[in-house]
This record gives sequence, structure tokens and C-alpha cells, in this order.
Amino acid sequence: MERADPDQFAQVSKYGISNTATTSGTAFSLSTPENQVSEQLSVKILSKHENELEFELINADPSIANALRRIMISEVPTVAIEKAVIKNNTSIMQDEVLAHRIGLVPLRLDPSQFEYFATDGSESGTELNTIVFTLKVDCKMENGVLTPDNGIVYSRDLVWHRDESHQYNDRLTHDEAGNELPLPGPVHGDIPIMKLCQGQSLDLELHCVKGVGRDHAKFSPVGTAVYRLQNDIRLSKEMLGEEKINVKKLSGAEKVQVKTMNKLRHDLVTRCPLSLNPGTSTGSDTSSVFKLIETKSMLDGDKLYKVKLNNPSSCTMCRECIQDDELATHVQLLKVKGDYLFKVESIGSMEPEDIVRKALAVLKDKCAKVRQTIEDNTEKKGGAAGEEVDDEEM
Amino acid sequence: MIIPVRCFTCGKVIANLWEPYQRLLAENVSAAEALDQLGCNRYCCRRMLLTHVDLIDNLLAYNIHAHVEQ
Repeated sequence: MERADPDQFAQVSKYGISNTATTSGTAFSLSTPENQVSEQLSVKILSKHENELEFELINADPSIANALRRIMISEVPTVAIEKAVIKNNTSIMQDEVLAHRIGLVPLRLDPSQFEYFATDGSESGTELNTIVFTLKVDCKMENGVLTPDNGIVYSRDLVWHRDESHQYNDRLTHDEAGNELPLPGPVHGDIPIMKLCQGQSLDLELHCVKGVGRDHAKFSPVGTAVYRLQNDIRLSKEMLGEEKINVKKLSGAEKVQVKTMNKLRHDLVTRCPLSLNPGTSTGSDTSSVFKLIETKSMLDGDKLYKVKLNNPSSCTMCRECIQDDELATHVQLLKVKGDYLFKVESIGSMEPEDIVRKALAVLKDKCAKVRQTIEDNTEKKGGAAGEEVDDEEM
Repeated sequence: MIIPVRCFTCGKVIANLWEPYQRLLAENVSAAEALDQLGCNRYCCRRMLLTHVDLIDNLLAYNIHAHVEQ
């Protein structure tokens, strides 16, 4: 088979992967002029189910794709419970364990409505940087019935502590158009927080602040944000078997060859764990990588088949199909450099597409900051040499 | 002791799946099928539910507050 362009594709072979380096001068390199980048760069949304978004980022540099992923995980802000004032806890769980558990409950709050709480202790909580929830449950036996039901305290028991003296409560209860929003609360109401017994009680005041996943995973807006390179699977002409064969005109040697190829096609499809095997129920039609298709021609009583590449992007690159040396000459497993399949799973506090948008905004800010720092320092360089570079965390 | 709120590895909220998962198991649905139905697809989240031992009821048996209201 013809060798794939090493600048465009990484080759997956029996023992490892080659041509992985990104060389400059290719279509997705950082050295590509700006106007060309915007022409070539594209985003294609593949699917969205509830909180899960899959999209394809085409012609981007790996550093950009990875920056986007890392920012989504650790630098897009959300609001989470940060401080727990425990007034009473007679449950069997220690205060600090309980506080940690409650902290992980995701909240349905718009982080853009909040300011950061200064971490240096210079500032106390205000209504713009803190929102308070309360959790007060007493477990009692009333007429032989335990309340709460089964003694289980759920996340829905977290109640927003609305202070009427606050000026800006409206920003949490109404959107910009003045429509009423659901009250601030947890994203999932059915998270069991604690199980209580008769006579036990919880009374907590929970202070929530805005933060980023870098500080604590509870602030991360995504379950996972991952990407993988797009697959490209190539089959040889003989393997595809698209050429029409006149069975009657074949010579003896040609017949042998046709039969071997027919067997190899069967071999390929049965080896692939993601193939829809004829006659069995394994593998779904959409996820199967290869498909065996019956042709009308027969040779010595055997049906002849051809292979169709059904859904190459579902291939997991398990390399099962290239373990056999003979098959490996007909199959090429490639990874398309610069073509990323992203999967972003939101925790529920914001839409996954918003997370991507916000992550891009953060990335843009960072770039602007670097640029500014460089410009400031080149200007100064004439006067004071060796002046300290602004070491603010990037 | 009690089901963790989130998956240790990826951070997906899994505590709210525990009760439906137990319900499915009680209906004789296999663990694999139950996890698939609940949308628990990654093996990190699957192990959270699959390997959890809910000990809280055993610990609640030692309730020093039980006599208070009796």
C-alpha cells in the first residue's frame, strides 16, 4: 500500500506509533500566517446529548487543543460550597468528612454573577462574592414513621438562605430579560448526603464562593474534557474488492488469489472487535468499523464478499487487524494530525458549549497577557536592563 | 461507608445513581446492564458503583442518640 504523508498522518503499526512529531510548515503549525490559520481552522459539532458535547477541531496545533482541554478542566470558574459552619452535627460522620462531601455537590449558579473572594483574607464575605445555603435536618420518629424518609438527607435539602436586606438578590432569581429563574440550589436534588438515625440532627450554614478547578476539583465545570486524534483507516484496493471480477474468465492462479483475498476479508471483519459480524448479533451497525458486503458473484460454490469502511472514527486502534502480517499489508491505521475529536461532559452547572466558549475566552486573555508582558518588557529594555519580568502566574 | 458524591477519577456525580442502581439490581438486572442504563459508561465511574460497600446501616446500629427522644 502507498505510504501515507508523514506530515499529515501518524502511523499506527504493530508495535507502536510512528510519525508523531508535528513539524513546522504543515497546515496546522503555529508558524502558519494568521489569515491562513483562520481560513483553515474549523469546528464541527458532532453531537450533543444532555450534558455531553462532541465536536471536532480541525487544523489546530496540538498545543492549542491541549490548552483548550486543560483550561476547561481547571480554569473555567464555577461556584461551589467552600466554607461550612457546623452548628450541630450528631450524625455518625465527622464534621470535616461531612463538609468535604457537601462541598462536592455541584450548584446551579451562574458564576458570571459572582466576584472572586479574595484569598489573602483582606476581604470579608459580601453578597457579591458569597451565597449562603443552609442544611437543617432533624431525624425524628413520628407515629412510627421516620422523617426524613429512611433517614436520608438529600442534596435537595440544601436551602438558599435568602437575606432580604441584600440589594442584588434579583440577579439570582431573574435573568436579564426579567424572567424568573429556578431558585439557586444543587444541580442534582437526589444526591444522598448523609443517612441519619432517630434523634440525630444536622444544622449547617454553607458559604459558596467562585473558584477554579485548579484550586479544587469541586470547582471544575466538567466531568471530563478529553480529545483524541481523528482516525483514518485505509484498505488496499484488493481488500475493498470493488473491482468487478468475471468469475468465468479467471485462470487457475487468479482463482487462488481471489479466494485468498476473500478469506482475508472475512478474517479482517471477524478479527475487529467493533465489527458487525454477519450472522451474529455482536457490534451495532453504526459503531462497526468494517462491514462485509455480499456480492452477487460466486466462485466454486463460495460467495464472494467486499469490505466497506463503515465508521472508521469508532475504531479504538486496538491493532488486532494488523497483528497478522498478511493482513497488515492491506490495512493502514492512521491518526490524522491536527484533527481532534473533543468530548466535553458538563457537570450540569452550565451548558457544555458555554464551557468551551468560556475556556476560549480564558485562553485569549492569557495570550493577551503574555503579549502585553513582552511588549512592556521590550519597551523598558532600553533603559533598565535586567528588569524583573512580571511573574504573575500564567 | 456511604456512596461517594463524585467519581474519584473523572469527577462525574455518581451518588445520585446509587439508589436507581440498587433498584435495578433488585429487579435482577445484571450489574453491567444496570450501569449502561444509568449512563455510567467509563470504567472509572463504573467501579465507583460496582465496588461500593454500603456500610452506613451497620454503623447506624450504634446510635447513642436513639434514647434521647424515646
